[in-house]
Amino acid sequence: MTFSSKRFIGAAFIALSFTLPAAAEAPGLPGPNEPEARGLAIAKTSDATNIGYGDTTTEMQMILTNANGDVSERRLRFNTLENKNPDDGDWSMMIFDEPRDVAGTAMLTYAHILEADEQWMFLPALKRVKRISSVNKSGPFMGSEFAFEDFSSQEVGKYSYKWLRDEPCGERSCHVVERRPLYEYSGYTRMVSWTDTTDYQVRKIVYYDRKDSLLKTLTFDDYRQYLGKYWRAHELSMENHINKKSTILRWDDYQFDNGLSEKDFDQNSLKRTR
Amino acid sequence: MVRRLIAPFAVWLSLGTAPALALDIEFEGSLEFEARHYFEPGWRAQQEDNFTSVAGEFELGFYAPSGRHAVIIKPFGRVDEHDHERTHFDLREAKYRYVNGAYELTIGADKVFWGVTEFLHLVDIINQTDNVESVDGEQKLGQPMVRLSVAKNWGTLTGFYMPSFRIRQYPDADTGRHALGFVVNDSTSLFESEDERANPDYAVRYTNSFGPVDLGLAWFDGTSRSPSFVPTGTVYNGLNVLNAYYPLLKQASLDVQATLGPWLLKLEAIESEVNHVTTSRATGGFEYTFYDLFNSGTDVGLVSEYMWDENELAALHPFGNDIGVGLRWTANDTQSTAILVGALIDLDSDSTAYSIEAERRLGQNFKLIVEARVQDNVGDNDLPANLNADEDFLRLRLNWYF
Repeated sequence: MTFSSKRFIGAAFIALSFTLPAAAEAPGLPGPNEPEARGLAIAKTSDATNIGYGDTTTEMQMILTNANGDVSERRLRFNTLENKNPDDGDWSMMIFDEPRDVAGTAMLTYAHILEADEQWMFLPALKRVKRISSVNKSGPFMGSEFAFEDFSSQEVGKYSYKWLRDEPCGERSCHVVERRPLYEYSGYTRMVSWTDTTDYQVRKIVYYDRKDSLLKTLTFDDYRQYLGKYWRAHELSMENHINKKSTILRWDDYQFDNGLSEKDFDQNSLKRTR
Repeated sequence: MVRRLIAPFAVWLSLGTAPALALDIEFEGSLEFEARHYFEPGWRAQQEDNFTSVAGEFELGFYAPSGRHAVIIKPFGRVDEHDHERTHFDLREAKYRYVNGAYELTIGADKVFWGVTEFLHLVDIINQTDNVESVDGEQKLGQPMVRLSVAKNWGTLTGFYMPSFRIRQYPDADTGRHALGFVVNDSTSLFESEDERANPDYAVRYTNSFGPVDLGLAWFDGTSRSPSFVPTGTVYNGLNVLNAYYPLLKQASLDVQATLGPWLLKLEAIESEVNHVTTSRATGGFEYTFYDLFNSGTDVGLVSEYMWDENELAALHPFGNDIGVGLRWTANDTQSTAILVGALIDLDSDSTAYSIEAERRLGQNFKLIVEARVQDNVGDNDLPANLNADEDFLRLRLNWYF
């Protein structure tokens, strides 16, 4: 009985929001007459929903489908540590489990905002830690439709912003914002993102290549909330409109409050990954 | 996840009534089928041109949930059709590891890599080369050690104590290739230290990163991993039989890499002392990568490194005044296709050796690797190049990962 009444309330709420197209937005956003300031404020509001998350660990399955429908899979683990300095990026450790021939390979990244990220790769067969160039932004990540830059932490300062419009997106209302990379070596001239006006989470991004033609669309699904605060999408689906390939990322449950510290994100811990 | 085939699998060691210990167990490994073909008949009549072999390696790890304790065992073995010395077994790793904050202690056999360059690994000294496994010297034998490292904001300092020495293996005297025109009798190796293989080695290494610069400084005091050779006066099948002689060595080393956009600038330098003779050697160069070339998603990397030895003429290695040039093409496709082409040129004699290595994943769990090495130009009086001249080969490997 409780279940059905909740569903009823949910349905009523959706109906209500449809009758009120001018949905509520975050208080204090600059108005449509200041599109750059409004776009930046939307990005900052979205970023603020993640402040204080501390650290997370999660696992990811990557499903690659080519134009003929052939499928291949990858599996990775991700550990991240929040950088308390808001003017700098987060630390992350990426550990490859599948395909099996690269199992044990791991990548440590200290993300920065406009200066180059610092990256080290651990090659388990040689037990070698190699400092690698972080210039590789636009290249494919593990043969997928995701570029390296799509994976790096999306700090506010990495882009310039321009609000375009507000419009319905599924059952929600979204801010549509254009952003242009300010960092070097990006494969994109711009991206257009849809950020919902209630939880301020990104729902969709459309990418335009260096010649400003439509390249890819990324949709974010299965958002779940952790610690009553932090939203994480559990299914990301990237569709390439040029080569007709697609990649789906399925994220496992995120674990928060693992007690990770900087010691878990150095070259010594990189060598110990398993 | 497949890699944790057995995990999460709790091992309960009951002490009294309480379950005392729960461990994560992980198991993974690979099997390799290999075929090698040598294009020229070798130095000896009995030598073979075609070899097949099978190799396997697995890693079994026991990890305490606290992350502090781990026991890792990684045996490797190969069975070669003809070469009895290449049929070998090694414990690449067999170690206990304890981690507590900034401290890490490892006891047992392990493998450690030092350095930054690609053609010649000058400062890498902890492990003996598994000389029968591959000619590029990249494969190493497990080294017994006690290793303690401390990682602080001033860098990482690691101390090594290595209680026993491992000799370098040489191909089978009758059938083995890569043969070099002489026979090494490794059952009677000679040592400068009276304690022979039981002479302990010590090493200290400091590493730190300063923005774009990664720095390593090290000191080694022990038995040299590279032997010199002493004639025995005997001849086997028309070839001189030599004994390997392992002198005592003191070596200071520096390795540094600056990562500047698409440029990697690298330098390795050593100063070593053997029998009161001090020698300086260095290697360095650059790696430049064109990422996402013409928006194709593929990468092309160029590597060039120079190798220098102040006592070039007396040296037993061929890297006294040489330049290496390499090109790496990475398709970044779903099957991770990659090709590496390299040339090693002796600037004194113009002797040139070429190599090509191509690899591609087949399905999800297999990988095919094709490798060829050719000694092209052989300069006058270039002994290493002359010894290598008839040892051109093609090597094919099919690996299955589980």
